[in-house]
Amino acid sequence: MDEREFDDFYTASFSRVVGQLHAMIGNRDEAQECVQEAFVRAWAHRRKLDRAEHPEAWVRTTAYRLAVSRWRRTVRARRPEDRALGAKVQAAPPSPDHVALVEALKRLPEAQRQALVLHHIADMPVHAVAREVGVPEGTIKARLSRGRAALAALLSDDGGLQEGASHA
Amino acid sequence: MPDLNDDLFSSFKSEGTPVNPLPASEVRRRGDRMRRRNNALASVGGVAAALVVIATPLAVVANQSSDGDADRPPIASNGPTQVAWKQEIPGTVDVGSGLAGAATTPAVETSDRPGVATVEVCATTLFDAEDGTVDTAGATWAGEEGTGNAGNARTLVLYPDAVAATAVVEGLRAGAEQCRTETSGTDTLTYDLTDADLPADEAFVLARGYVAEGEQSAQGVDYYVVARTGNAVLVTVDPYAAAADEQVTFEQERVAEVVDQMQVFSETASRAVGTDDTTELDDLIPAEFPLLEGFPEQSAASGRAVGREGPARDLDLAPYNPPLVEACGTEPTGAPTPTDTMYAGWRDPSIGMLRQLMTFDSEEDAQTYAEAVVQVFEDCPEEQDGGVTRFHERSEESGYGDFAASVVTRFEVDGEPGPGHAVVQAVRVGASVLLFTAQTETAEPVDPAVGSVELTYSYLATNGPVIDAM
Repeated sequence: MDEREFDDFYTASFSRVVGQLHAMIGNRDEAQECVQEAFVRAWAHRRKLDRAEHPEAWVRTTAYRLAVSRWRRTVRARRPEDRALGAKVQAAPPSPDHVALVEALKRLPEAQRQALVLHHIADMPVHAVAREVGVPEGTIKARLSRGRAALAALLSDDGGLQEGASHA
Repeated sequence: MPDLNDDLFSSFKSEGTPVNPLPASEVRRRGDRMRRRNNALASVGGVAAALVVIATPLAVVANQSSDGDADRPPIASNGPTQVAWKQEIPGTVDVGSGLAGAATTPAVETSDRPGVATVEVCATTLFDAEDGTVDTAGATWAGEEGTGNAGNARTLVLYPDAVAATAVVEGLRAGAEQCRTETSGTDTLTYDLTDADLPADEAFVLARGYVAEGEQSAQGVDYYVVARTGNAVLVTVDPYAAAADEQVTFEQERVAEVVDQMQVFSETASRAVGTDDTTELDDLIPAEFPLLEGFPEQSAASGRAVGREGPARDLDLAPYNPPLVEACGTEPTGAPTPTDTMYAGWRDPSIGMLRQLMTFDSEEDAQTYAEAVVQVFEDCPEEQDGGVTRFHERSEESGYGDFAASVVTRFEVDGEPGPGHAVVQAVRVGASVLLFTAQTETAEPVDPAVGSVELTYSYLATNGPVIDAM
């Protein structure tokens, strides 16, 4: 992958992967930071990226593992807010439904949330999700089934998330 | 109850996520720096090995996902035996060897991606191929058509050293021994661990059985073979295979050849830094370190101009107006003592710039030192000296080393911006710190609105080549 190919890949994928990771971890700023670092690693290991069947999956997986890393939590805790991230992007506030969905996803077990995001947001078939996560397909099917049921309960009128949902 | 179809998730696609990405060129620059750092750590022999193994565990951000402890940067341990553990899987190790057993089709596929990404037991990830590893190789085999064989997968990973690798394998073993059963939907999963008879430092077979509701025995078993030699760990899975005692033996036979090839990672095979090494262990910063990189080649002024000075461990610091770090009459206190220090400077009648490169016993010590430097200014953001007011403006920057903080001191004379400025920058990379100071009394006054930011990044750009080399 030469510089131009990488730049095109980076430009085309960055926002999408941040959105997917945001859904997985529930924190937009952290998602962006992890995806940013994942792309740095992607360029550092571009030989591996060249051989990857799905480079975007490689970046997403790396970013996800960064996000759940205890190391990052430790480093972040010691460090004041990084003022060099640049000005906050001004954007329209998300819809209440979107906010409720993000909150509900955050309350799911990590494994179920990851499966739901990869299948329903990243549009990956079950076998591809299984390959990315590294577990059998049957395990992914079970996680999707349980995750959908839990999400449905959380988003129902009795689930309490649709009214007064906090900003994600 | 909402309809759980893809429309529910469409907001993630239509509303998008506001992002503020770095320029692609900056991403590539940081990636190149990471690659150089990884390559420096992989080199063996001489001063490079001394830096890596002997004194200061440099932080290496390799191909990690960060670790459950998922993405913990690999840190080389400082054991009494100085072994140069391999940091790359050589081509002589065929990770796919034996994966298909006696079958000839379909072909085994190998790549730099792990065939087994994680191993989970009782909802706990006990193995993660991208957690703390420095190199990865994987193989997959799709299984013979029509046989019901779901195919096999394998991962070979290297850790910075055998201590790290052993911790992972022992953690996997302990986790499996503590969790004998778990529920998954309507199935009960059972876990059974058997020591393996393989030519490795340690090896075992982990069998995960799927027992359907109402049944007494497993309908299928995932067989994991885990083997460690030196700093290398192999994980193979044969998913949902037949539940039979003979299968444990068969799985070991399938990995025997690649486990044998893993002897290249053994402590014996890994080269030791011998006692006949002539490296001066006390000089941790190599003499050829480019500490002057980025400074002007010559002084622009004539006459008493000096220009470049050093690098040297005993540079005369008097011309650089010490104390270099001081505010409100206070210098940093309680900072750890460096294990090695080297200086390089550039000065002329108008400005003096000094770089102080230091190594420490640990990353924690280095971080403590860097933070102690800037703390002095945090505690004293403003001070008066006659009619001159000094404003110390502190900031932190990402993308420069593991930690970077700057303090720009601007002056006001009787309430108006005065000439000159001073800058202190502390950048940590692993267990090393670059302390940079600059002082000028003749430069244009610093614009209170944007001047500090401009100066910060201007000096970081000047120091960038040194930071990249750390």
